[in-house]
Amino acid sequence: MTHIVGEPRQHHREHAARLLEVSDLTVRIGATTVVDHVSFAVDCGERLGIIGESGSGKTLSALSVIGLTPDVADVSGSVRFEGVELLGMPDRQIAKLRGDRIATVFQNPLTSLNPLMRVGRQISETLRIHRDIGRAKAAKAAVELAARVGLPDPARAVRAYPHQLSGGQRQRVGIAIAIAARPRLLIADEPTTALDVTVQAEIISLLDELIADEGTALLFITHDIALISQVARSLLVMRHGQVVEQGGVNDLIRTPQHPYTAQLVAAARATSTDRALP
Amino acid sequence: MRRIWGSWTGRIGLVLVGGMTAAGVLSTVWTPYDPHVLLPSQRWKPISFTHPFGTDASGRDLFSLVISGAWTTARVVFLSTVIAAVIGMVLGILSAIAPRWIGEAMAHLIDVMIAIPALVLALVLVAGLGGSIVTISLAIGIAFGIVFARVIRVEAHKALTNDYIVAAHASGASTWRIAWRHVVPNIAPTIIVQLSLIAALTILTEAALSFLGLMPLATISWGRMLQDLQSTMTIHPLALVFPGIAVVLATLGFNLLGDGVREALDPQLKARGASAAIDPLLAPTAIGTDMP
Repeated sequence: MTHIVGEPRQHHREHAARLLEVSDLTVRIGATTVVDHVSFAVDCGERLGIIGESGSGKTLSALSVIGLTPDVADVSGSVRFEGVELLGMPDRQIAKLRGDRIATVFQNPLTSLNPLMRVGRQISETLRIHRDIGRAKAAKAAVELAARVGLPDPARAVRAYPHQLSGGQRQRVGIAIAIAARPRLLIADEPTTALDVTVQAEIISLLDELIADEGTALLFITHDIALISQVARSLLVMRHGQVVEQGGVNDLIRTPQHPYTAQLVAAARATSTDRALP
Repeated sequence: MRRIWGSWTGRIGLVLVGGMTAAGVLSTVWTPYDPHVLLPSQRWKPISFTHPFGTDASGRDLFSLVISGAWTTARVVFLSTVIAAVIGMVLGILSAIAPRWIGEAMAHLIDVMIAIPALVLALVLVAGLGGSIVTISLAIGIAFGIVFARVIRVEAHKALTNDYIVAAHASGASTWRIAWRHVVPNIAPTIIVQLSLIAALTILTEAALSFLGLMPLATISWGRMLQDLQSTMTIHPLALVFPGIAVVLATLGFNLLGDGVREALDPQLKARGASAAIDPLLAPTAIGTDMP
């Protein structure tokens, strides 16, 4: 982002901390309001969790940020990223931010990778789109990224096709794709939902470690309140397209104000006897 | 390629198509007799070692005519298929990736154009441009290309609903990049199979158009041979058999090749289907089951 020369320094500073600011975001599909006046903000390096049941509008809220809502959706409100309004921006321009400044990790690594393209190509694709680098350099970068996300034998892994990798390994590839261009904001849309329980923990700690290194901000979408307490400090609870409660993760778990939040916590406690929530 | 050879249909298809092409190429450098020279003294010779298929009413060697006809057919098939492939892929993919209203408009236009038969289009083009291999191929290529575009549009639409397309968008890939990198490779099996069927239909259409006299007189083709010979069919029925069999075998060849290609690509499709079927098993765990 550019700022005008001679602009007061303080003004610049004020906005430097605020990375993403979503206000009054409303998404309508036909006559249905799927996201209803949702507002939240993410500061640089901050981690925000959005939790809610299926159909609560959490994924659609996140997709609105990067302009990937379905054609039929009518999006209104405001999405400001690094001080620039994204809603209404031509897709060609938002596309420059996607993958570069704002990256996304998707829910299902089985389907979000192209089955006919080698993993290394898919990892380096982001770099080839946004950076002016050649094939050889991109291939080298893919190996380095594969190593960073902990793929075993990275030099060989980049030559594999997605079906030759396990679910967890595939999600590591998904993460490698997302962090390739060192984004400022990472949107993780239920990145562990499609994985089995033991792998979930590995993926979460990997994400945690990678974004801590880079100071990347995280928008973590999930329906699992126990999971979110591992990753994020602040939390947004959504239901039927509306934000029902917002606050620090620990506060919300200890003293939920809204009955729905209380329900989520109770459900999480009921299904997990071996580990206690704070 | 090895996979195609592995199935019987693919193997027979390859042999027939290869045989036709080889005969065609051979005819450009060598034929037993010059198929353009009329020798009234040699008319209606029966099948013999010197004339394996006999001769026609003008004393031309039918064997030479048949292999020369193979060259015409091969060229028409090649040109038509290339034209159909270009038209079909450009229109089909464009209409799939274009904004909704443009795409729908293109689809309706395609539907209307499908109604124009290859024959009518060929008559118009021949009247306008004169009969030649290129004109005939253009007519066939356009007519089949439009139908092909419909198939491609549907397949591309299906491919575009994949999660990895959304993921590619999220990586900042442009629509063109997505079409080229993600859509085309994933509909390639359909493209190949459809094109082999178009090639088979092209042979029949070309024979029909030549039969109707749309091919210039100097161009030897199976359709024209059939037309020449059909007037004397009751007296010399055997002469008609050879170009007829040539048309049948060539068409059969491309059809079988198409089947062979489909079979060769099928296990891959099955494997992909199976991996997609796994995911309900891995899918959502209940809330809080994971508490690492």
